[in-house]
Amino acid sequence: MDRKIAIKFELNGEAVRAEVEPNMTLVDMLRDHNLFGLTGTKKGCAQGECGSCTVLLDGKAVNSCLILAPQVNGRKVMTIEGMGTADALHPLQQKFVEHVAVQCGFCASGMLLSAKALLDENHSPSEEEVRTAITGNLCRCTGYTKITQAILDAAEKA
Amino acid sequence: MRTVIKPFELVVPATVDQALSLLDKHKERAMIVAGGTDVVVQLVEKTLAPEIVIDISSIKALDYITEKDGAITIGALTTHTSLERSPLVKQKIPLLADAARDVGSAQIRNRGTIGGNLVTASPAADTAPPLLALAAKLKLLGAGGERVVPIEEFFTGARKSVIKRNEILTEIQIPIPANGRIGTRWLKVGRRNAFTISLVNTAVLMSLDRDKCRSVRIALGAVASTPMRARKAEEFLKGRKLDEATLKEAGAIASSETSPITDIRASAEYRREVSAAIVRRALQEAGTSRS
Repeated sequence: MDRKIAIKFELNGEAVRAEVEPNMTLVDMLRDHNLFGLTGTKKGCAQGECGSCTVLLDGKAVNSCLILAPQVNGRKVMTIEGMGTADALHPLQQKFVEHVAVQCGFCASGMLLSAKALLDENHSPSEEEVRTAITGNLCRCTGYTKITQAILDAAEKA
Repeated sequence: MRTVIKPFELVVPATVDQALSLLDKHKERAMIVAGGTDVVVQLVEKTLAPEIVIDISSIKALDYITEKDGAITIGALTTHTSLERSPLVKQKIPLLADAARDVGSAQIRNRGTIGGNLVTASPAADTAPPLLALAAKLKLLGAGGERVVPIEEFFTGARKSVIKRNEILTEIQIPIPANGRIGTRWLKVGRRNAFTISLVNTAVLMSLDRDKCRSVRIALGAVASTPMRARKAEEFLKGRKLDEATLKEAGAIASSETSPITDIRASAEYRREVSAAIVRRALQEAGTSRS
């Protein structure tokens, strides 16, 4: 029995299609070189406990490792690749660079998307609100201080 | 490396009735997924290996928060984020908004649903103690019809409930507390301050008569095989003045009613000690809050 499901969704602003088996998670579909090859989304724990796989689904931050690929049918997905490019950094990315908020970089994709989801909704968050917004993104390198400051700075500049 | 989940067939019903037909048709070969924050983990860990997965996450008809006849009715697919932010919930049953805010992380809250939290029936579920304190009722729908189960009767053991294989939890009904002055408090203790499974949690709903407790419901989670009520402590507090000694004793009584286990997160002894402390604190803060 062919269990594959044909899905249509919006990925980083573009209408796309895929045929996937339902036992494939969203993070695997995004990263798969035979499908979308978007390896900016990372896979840290594969059980929703680290946030490195964070993407935006209809504008909301979600763990893509906990979503079955077909569940994005008809929805909008944004990955880090959709946020900015090397030539055109998103203001949040620019602030992360300026504040040295990135060390190994593994948490950065997810962290930036969580920050983007926050600022899209709340243009001037308090420090407390920023810290709450990123509780689902674990960082083993930075201690979160520079990340928090970068996000607050980006909010002010927006 | 690809995450390996045993292959299954996915079906996506558009309505609750379609979902029920699918459950009836496929019986024990099928299971439901909503937000997936518990189910997908179990699929990955292989504690669940269904042949058919019924994805109900797009059934908008089960995503609502309304007020009707003195009760708040919540569709089972309402996410924790929706609960946390709902003006209706924050105003009329803030206990539930406070608990929903403490579930997992923003990413988890954006997908996880109240229905899923209840049906997964973890003893540490954060939405359960508030619903126990609020005397909520759960609507279960099966091919045979609908039944309403008081939440005290819903959980039967760790990760077990009375829901039948061919039933779907559709709605949570919460009577709006309206007996004079009401004080509530939710408290959660975890290994860290956020994004953590409860070691002990508590929800308290008190009806106050000046400085006396007229009646109270004290619910505790993660300290027994199911979320529970501390009924002896509740009985003890009836009509009593909320002075320091009374609060301390109430906490101790509540703690004596728990039967926690030692697990990877905490020892039973720690949970017993913390239950006493947080029940005492929740009672104190509920007693001094204004509603």
